[in-house]
Amino acid sequence: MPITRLYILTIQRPALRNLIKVARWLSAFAWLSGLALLLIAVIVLQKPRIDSDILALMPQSDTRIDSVETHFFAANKQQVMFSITGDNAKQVHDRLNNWLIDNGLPARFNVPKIDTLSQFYAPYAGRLLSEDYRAAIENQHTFSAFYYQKLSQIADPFVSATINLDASLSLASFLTEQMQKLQTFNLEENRLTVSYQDAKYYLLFAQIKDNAFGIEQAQQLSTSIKQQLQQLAVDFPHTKVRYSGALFHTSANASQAKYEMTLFGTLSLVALVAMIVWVFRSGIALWLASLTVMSAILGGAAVLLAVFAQVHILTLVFAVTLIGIAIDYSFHGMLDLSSSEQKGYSRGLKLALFLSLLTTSLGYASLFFSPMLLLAQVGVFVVAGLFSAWLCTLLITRQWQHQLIIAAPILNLADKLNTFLQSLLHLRRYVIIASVGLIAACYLYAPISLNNDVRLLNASPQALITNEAFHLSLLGRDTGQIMIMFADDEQALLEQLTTFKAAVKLRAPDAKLNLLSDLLPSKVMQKRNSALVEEKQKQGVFTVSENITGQPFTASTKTLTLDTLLTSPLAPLITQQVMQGDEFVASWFMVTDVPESVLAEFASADPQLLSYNKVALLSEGLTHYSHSLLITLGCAILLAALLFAWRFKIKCAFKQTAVLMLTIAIILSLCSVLQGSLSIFNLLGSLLVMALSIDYLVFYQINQLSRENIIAISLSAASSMWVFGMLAMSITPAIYSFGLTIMIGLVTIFVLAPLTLAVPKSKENR
Amino acid sequence: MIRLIIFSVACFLTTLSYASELSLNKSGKFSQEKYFAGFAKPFISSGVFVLEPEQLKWQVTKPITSTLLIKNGQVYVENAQGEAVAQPGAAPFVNLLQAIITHDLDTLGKQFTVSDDTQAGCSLLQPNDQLLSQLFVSFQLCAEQGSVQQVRLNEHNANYTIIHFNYSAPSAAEFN
Repeated sequence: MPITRLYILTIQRPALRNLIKVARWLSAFAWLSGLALLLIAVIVLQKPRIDSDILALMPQSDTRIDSVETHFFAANKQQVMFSITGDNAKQVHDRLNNWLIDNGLPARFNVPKIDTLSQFYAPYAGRLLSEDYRAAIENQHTFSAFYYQKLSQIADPFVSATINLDASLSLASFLTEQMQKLQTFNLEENRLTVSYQDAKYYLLFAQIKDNAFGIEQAQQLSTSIKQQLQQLAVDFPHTKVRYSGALFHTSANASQAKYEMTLFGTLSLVALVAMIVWVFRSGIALWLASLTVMSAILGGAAVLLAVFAQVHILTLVFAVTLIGIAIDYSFHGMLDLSSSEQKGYSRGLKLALFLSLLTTSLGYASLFFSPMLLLAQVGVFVVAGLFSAWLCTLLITRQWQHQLIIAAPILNLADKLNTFLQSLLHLRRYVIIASVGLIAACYLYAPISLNNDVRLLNASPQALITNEAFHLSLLGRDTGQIMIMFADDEQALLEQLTTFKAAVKLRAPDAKLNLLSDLLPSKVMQKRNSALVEEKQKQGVFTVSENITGQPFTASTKTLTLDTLLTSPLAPLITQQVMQGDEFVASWFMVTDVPESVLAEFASADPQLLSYNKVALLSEGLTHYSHSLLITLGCAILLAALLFAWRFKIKCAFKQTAVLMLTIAIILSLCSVLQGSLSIFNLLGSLLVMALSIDYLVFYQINQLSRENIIAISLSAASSMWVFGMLAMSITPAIYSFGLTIMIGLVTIFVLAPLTLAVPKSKENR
Repeated sequence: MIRLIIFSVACFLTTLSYASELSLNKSGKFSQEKYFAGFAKPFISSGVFVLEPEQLKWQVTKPITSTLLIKNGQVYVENAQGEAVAQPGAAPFVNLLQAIITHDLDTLGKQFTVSDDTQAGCSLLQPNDQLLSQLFVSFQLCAEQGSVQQVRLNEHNANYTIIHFNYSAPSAAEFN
């Protein structure tokens, strides 16, 4: 170095020191600002939405089913239903109805206009025949009886509306039959009513606007409705109002998720701050840990929102876990820097950090391919967040090396822990035997079983679930089964439906089915009907109608098609009942009074027929995904074994793999005992434990039982337990299972991981 | 829905006669003329009715036999086997009949707009109910000495029905 330069450096040393200090802070703020700007840019460009629909999280099943269920049932998510019973039910109905109208939620129910319906169907008279009419035109005598009976009635709106259009009354009979099937409720003084178990219920249905399904709007609307109901309950104490609808579930789930997110986030943050300050006795350590966590959150959020335009609120709840993992990097980094005599990180730390990032990221990256949106989102968020935290640790944290010192009491504590872990090492066999014994005992008490019934994941209040079930009973749907028929084209669909109905009626004569083919017979059927009435006319069956009305019988030759029906007064109903896709046509319908087994038989015999049960479909989806998660766990163990074998020796790799397997076995056994059965969220938690376990095993193998390593791993485990322990307090079953799994897993791996060491060694590669 | 309307109107008409004389037992004959726009002749049917404390029986006997029963707050139709088959959905209108039977004008006033008809001794009832108003423009009720003699049902499409009541008791042979 030239003398002049050395002189300048010596003269300007304090200034240089200040300059470095400023540069250090600037680089940290530049780093954070860069991430924040990236996040802002993504938000501006992507305009992401936060979703809270629990069903949107579930695995997507058959694409054919996915597309039809969106078409058929999406509107149901926007419907709210009220049932009112009691002394002042009518008044409460009217007050609530007025309130709904005033608040832009008009009743959904509309009675089709008889005249309009008649005018629409008139050109097809004779091509559409009711079952009664078919029987009536058997011969002249039966038709006369039918005809006289119709005209003798005091009033029949369809006779009156159609007799001038179709004197044979085939149209009147057809419309009467169809409208009777469609009419589920009574209409009493313009109010919908239904009788159920000797009580009368007034019903109100309202349609929520699309934009009410943002969480905020859902909560506001739900709160506002509940306030109105509370007021009604005060004014009319002897009247009971029940409410149901996706709106209320969304609101309840979102409130709970938000509450838990805030509570767990705050508590874990406080716990982490306390631990850091306790270990380092320095504000700088707190700042560096916060910087790492903030980097993880900003980086993770930016990538998450760039990949997904719609993020589920539960993703954010699970994302709290990132804090627990990301902060580990900071702990390891700071402890390594504080003990290092050279500038920067030790080689061992860099290698361990890299291996840790690699294994954890690989584990979480596999979630990206998950059919469950939630898992995919968590995977993306955590991988991106960890990468960001890793970069922050390597680039930013190291600049504060000279200010990082471990407090003396912590070093003493580390020595005690060292002694404890070494004694565990000596008792290794007993610890392993005890672990196996625990697994065996758990298995004997509650054999491991997976229960993926999606209803177990429902965190909605019990009252809401009860209301939902009660309203299904009022609607007569509690005993019904939704079926979906697929076909290549419209005509094939109508014919399949007709054939299905005939087959069901043969097996269960009391079966009730409202099919599209009832309102719209296939072309073949219409032609057949036409031929039938023409033949009957030739036989003189319609003479009575011709004599009474003075009008000659004429049969229509015009064919009713689906496209035409979709312009009819029944279009809103038909549109919701049928879907015309590019590759198929489908229609859904409800079947009641038929044993489920019979319908299942029909469905299994016909690939075009589906017995639609959302709960069963979701549960089946979860089961499939559970199996693939089990495979992922197996693959992760194999991957880890290969990594261990590559980086460490075979014998060591064997021990490490055995510990991993033992840890997973203990987790699953204990969770099975505590929960009764396992769910997919236990497997998901196990995957996370696996990632953390591999970290610990790698760090132990590289840095052995060094004081810094013990402190870092203990700190990591403690902080993770704080964070994940919080999740075990959640009342959302999915989050509870996840938290419990990780808590058990962390305790287990904390005890078992050091057992993979042969003898305590000093730091490798220092 | 349709049966509901039919039964409700049937109930309404048959109890009008009862309402005019608050006797618990009442019977008689009726004849019904249905006029359809564009048709030369009306369609005529006739029958008998019996009102008892427990039930009301409205039976068409010509040109065919068809029986309607109202009892226990429910409406029934006799099928070909003579069994009374309950008609779901008609129950709410039984309450309306009670209002008519008891001459509860307050209740009737909520469901109908009642006014004097141009014809002496007749009243005009215009339904406020959505379902009934889809079918009928108005009912014309004509009574003499407290007994309903004639009811005219005016429909939207210029069709109308006139029912005449005769309070002479029907003989047993007139019932099937």
